[in-house]
Amino acid sequence: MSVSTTIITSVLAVIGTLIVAFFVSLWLPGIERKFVHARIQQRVGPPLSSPGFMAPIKFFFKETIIPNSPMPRLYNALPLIGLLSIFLILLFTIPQMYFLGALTTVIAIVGLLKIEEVIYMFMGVLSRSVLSMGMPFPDVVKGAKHPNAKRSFLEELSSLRAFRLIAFGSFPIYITLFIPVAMAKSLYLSEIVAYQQINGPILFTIAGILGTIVFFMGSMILLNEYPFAILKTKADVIEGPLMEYAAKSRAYIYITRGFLIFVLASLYVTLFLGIPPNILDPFFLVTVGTAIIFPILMAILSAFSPIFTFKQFYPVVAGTSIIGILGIIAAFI
Amino acid sequence: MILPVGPIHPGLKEPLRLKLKTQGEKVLSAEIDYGYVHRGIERIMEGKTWQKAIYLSERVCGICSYIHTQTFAETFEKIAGEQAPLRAQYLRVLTNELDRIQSHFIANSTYFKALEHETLFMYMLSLREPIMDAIELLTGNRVNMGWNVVGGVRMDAKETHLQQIKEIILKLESGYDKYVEMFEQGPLVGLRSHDVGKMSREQAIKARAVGPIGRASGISYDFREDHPTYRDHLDFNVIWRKEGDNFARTMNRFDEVPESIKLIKQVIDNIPSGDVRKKIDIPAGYGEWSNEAPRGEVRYMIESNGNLIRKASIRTPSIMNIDACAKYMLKDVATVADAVATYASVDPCIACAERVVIIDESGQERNFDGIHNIQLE
Repeated sequence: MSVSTTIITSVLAVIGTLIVAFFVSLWLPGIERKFVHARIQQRVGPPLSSPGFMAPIKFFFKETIIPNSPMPRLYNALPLIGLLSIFLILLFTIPQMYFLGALTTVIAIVGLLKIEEVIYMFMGVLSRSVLSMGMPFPDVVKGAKHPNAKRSFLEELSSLRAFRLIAFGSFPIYITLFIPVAMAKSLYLSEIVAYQQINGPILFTIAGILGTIVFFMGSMILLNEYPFAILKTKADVIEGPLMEYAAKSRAYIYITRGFLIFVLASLYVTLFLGIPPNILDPFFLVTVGTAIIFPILMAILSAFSPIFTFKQFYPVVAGTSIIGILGIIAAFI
Repeated sequence: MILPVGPIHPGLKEPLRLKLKTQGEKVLSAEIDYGYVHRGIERIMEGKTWQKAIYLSERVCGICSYIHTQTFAETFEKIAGEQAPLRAQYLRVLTNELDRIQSHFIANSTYFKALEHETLFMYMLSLREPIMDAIELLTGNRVNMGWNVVGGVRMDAKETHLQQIKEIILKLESGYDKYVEMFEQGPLVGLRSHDVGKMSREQAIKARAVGPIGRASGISYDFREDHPTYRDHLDFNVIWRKEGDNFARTMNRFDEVPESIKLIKQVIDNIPSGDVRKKIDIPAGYGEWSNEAPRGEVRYMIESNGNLIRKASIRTPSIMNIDACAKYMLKDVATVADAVATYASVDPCIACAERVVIIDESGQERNFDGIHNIQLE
């Protein structure tokens, strides 16, 4: 095969993978809601294409409004930044991109996942919803610096929660990402994949099984799925930091969620089964299959649990993190 | 900071402002502001005949509208010193219990929505739907039934309809335990409900909590025990618990449903034949009557000149329960999410509550526009 053919094939593989991943991800929220949530709750549920596919299209054609925010442009750009960071994660896990070196390490992926998390905090800080603007209250907490200043907003609470989530909520998934690192003794995705092609998938080891459990829980926390959806609980903070998003920004949020489900499944398959996403490889179907199974399992778990408050959140995160650490120890043994 | 929740908020069924004084995520105390849906129904009733006012009374509450018309009618019957025919009394019990079941389902569904347990929320609403159909079958309407008149009920029920209602009830009964078990045994939903929003028996008495809220805190009293139809012809148990937390309040409502089912079966099996209404001449006078609404005691105090209503006061259960919630349950709650769930567990009805709110402890009588003072004992 000539060099030019290789280049063309690689470019096609990268673009093709991204496009197929994107297209599959648009159907995942529909599968989750129609076939699991609605079935469990004994109702018909939305059309399959509605939550992930048609809703973003609809929102793209809505009138763009400038939200109440101290920095409206940054606020509107945040969903796009989140989408971009997830997009990059998938890009860097495609084998044809492994020449990028440090960008295709687990550390880079952790960094990009962190960006996705941090944007929620900024969203909370920058959001001034109409609801909150209409009912500011004087800050009367003892020791307040400006006791008569009116500065209580619902979004403050969601920002505070986002901060707490960044501080500890994502521990499990980060810990579990380092189980393959410990086994392959390398941070590079290429070497983790190569290790598994020689020694078999990490999933079929004790460390891999523990890692899978923790990865699943960690993904749920990262996705803000029930019961870990305290960030955007509708009963007290009303969607939290996402409330003010409309039109295109809202479409990006919907797309981001579906895409994040796919990317996390793909990351799992890469790290624990040694199958990186590549449209030219028939094993890509494993990634697609996992991307469908993941939300179904999540939806089943979330259908039977209420949203946790931090009182329940802390022990779950602590317990899951401990399992993750055990997984790392098992990886070394 | 002070976290305002409401007056318009998805966590609230109806408009009111909940001011949560928070420190971080912890709720130190709460204040409640009313007044957003005050309609002055008592004031509008003045100068009207009972035939017109009974429709107003039905609109006091949007969920337990039925019991208001029954209490209204029974207050007039008391002024006249008469009782509705026995068949009408049985039909009233039947409608009241169906209404109680649907109200308890919607109350629990709201609590599950506040916990964001969407599956149980959906299950509760799907259980409620056949009950609404049964109400429609009996009265012709689902919410505002127009069923009661002074002296009985508006029309008779067909035997086929009664049997259809019985089938609906038996079907509900057969699958009911599954849903209760999901809540009672579910470890995750238990974590969010046990020991949250506690109110002791003493506090419940102080706050004058009524209905399932008071009973969940250990006040074992149900106004149905004193109602002549229930007392003389029917058999049921008063459901009460000791814990006084969100779990107890929700379970209390869950456990009251089988009692209502028991009552409905007794009514359908033993309903006597005869008239369903009789003509009652209403003299001038003053009457009071209490009934057990789904949320607790509802009391009507009406003064009539024999034709027109001179003065009317309505005491609804929500006002005491919401007050109890603000004073005792929302103190030192661990999180804002729990505070919202606690508020929902009280099954507040704001449209009900916005009427008699002023307790004049000095004993002076003061009349506000459309709001009447009541000296509570």
